[in-house]
Amino acid sequence: MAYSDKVVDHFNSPRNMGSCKKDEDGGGTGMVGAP
Amino acid sequence: MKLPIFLDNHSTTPMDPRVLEAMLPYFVEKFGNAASRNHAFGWAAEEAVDNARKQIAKLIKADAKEIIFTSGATESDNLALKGVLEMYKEKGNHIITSSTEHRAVLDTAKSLEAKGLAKVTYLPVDKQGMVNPQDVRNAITDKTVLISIMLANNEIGTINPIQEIGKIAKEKGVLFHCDATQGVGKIPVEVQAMGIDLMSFSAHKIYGPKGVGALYVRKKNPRVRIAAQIDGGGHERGMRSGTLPVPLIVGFGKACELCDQEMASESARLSKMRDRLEAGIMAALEESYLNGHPTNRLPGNLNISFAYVEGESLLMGMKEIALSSGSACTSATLEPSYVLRALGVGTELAHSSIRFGLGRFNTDDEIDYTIKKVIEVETKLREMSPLYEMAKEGVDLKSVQWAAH
Repeated sequence: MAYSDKVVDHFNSPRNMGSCKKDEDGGGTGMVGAP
Repeated sequence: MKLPIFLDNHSTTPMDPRVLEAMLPYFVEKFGNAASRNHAFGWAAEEAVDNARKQIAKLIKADAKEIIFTSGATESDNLALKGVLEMYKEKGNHIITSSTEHRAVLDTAKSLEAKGLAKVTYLPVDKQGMVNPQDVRNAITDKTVLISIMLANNEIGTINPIQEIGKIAKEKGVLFHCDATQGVGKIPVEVQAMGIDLMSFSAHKIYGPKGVGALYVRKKNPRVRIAAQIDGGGHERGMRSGTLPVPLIVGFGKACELCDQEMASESARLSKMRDRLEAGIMAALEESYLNGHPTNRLPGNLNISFAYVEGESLLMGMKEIALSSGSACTSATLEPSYVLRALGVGTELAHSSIRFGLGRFNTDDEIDYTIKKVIEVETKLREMSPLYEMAKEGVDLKSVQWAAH
């Protein structure tokens, strides 16, 4: 049961990764997990 | 150095070419059934099996007549627990085992409990995974018929004080079964000196073929009797029926002989490589924690938890190296390893553990490559990790109230 190509792709080149500065304007918060 | 590298020798091992060579004649030329007493094909097979029994017995300092062949250590564990319980049911039905045993012992014990055939005490282990012999002594009652404690743990490599437990068992007149699958052939095992009455082990952990294992059943002081779980012909002294897989048994015997000859030098070599791997990784990566006993562990075993990074992602990042993890995703359920939990390791660290299992065919080049890769992938993953970022800023992660929804 190998990992699918999509999973491997996202693992090797993660998109939308990074951090915002705490006092930066325009940053929002979100919740993690399944609703 | 060939890729992929195999560093998961606790799950299985490649077969030694010398073992394969010893097995080959028994597939096509000397293919007789060892139980056929009337012709040369059967006699040749029987001779090969007897020879293998001697080689296996020599490794564990037992008598050849005390070796029963099974399909593997799982079957041997089943046979030991169920066979003893059935045979000694007049005496009692209490089994003492530990919480870090292999599933083959734990699931068998749970199944016996569920059927109402046994009462089981699961002893705790200390922070490094060792069973305390005093706990064993305190748990013995007049209904105890079996103590089952493993020689060395397959996940964290910790070696249990088997000799002391064997002494206690002998003193109290309780049978002592030892699941020695990970230890036989790697560290010295002597059934007499260790006071062991029943012992399970298998071939494929010591560079032999998969599909064959053995149960050592003591013949004297005391004479141990077990009820067969597989009937049909009364093979193996009535303890395990079924035609013997002669080629696999020949391989098993050869593998044991090789271990007997090479154990001392091999364990020294593996310990050195393992220590180098450990030092290389832990010096370079902060917040990495060793699981298991620091010195009293199997020569080729290393188990490290890397905080803030989940185990499976590390394995994905190192696809040219075969390793194992105690994290939830790599088990069928979402539960982290029960062995690590028994050590008191927190859930986050249990999810981030990696197990390295070095073996006979690993080289120094492979270790160097692995050290480099682990550091590289860990660093990259930690950079991505929000928990790592929070920890670096000084946030105490234990104080965070995670909102669930």
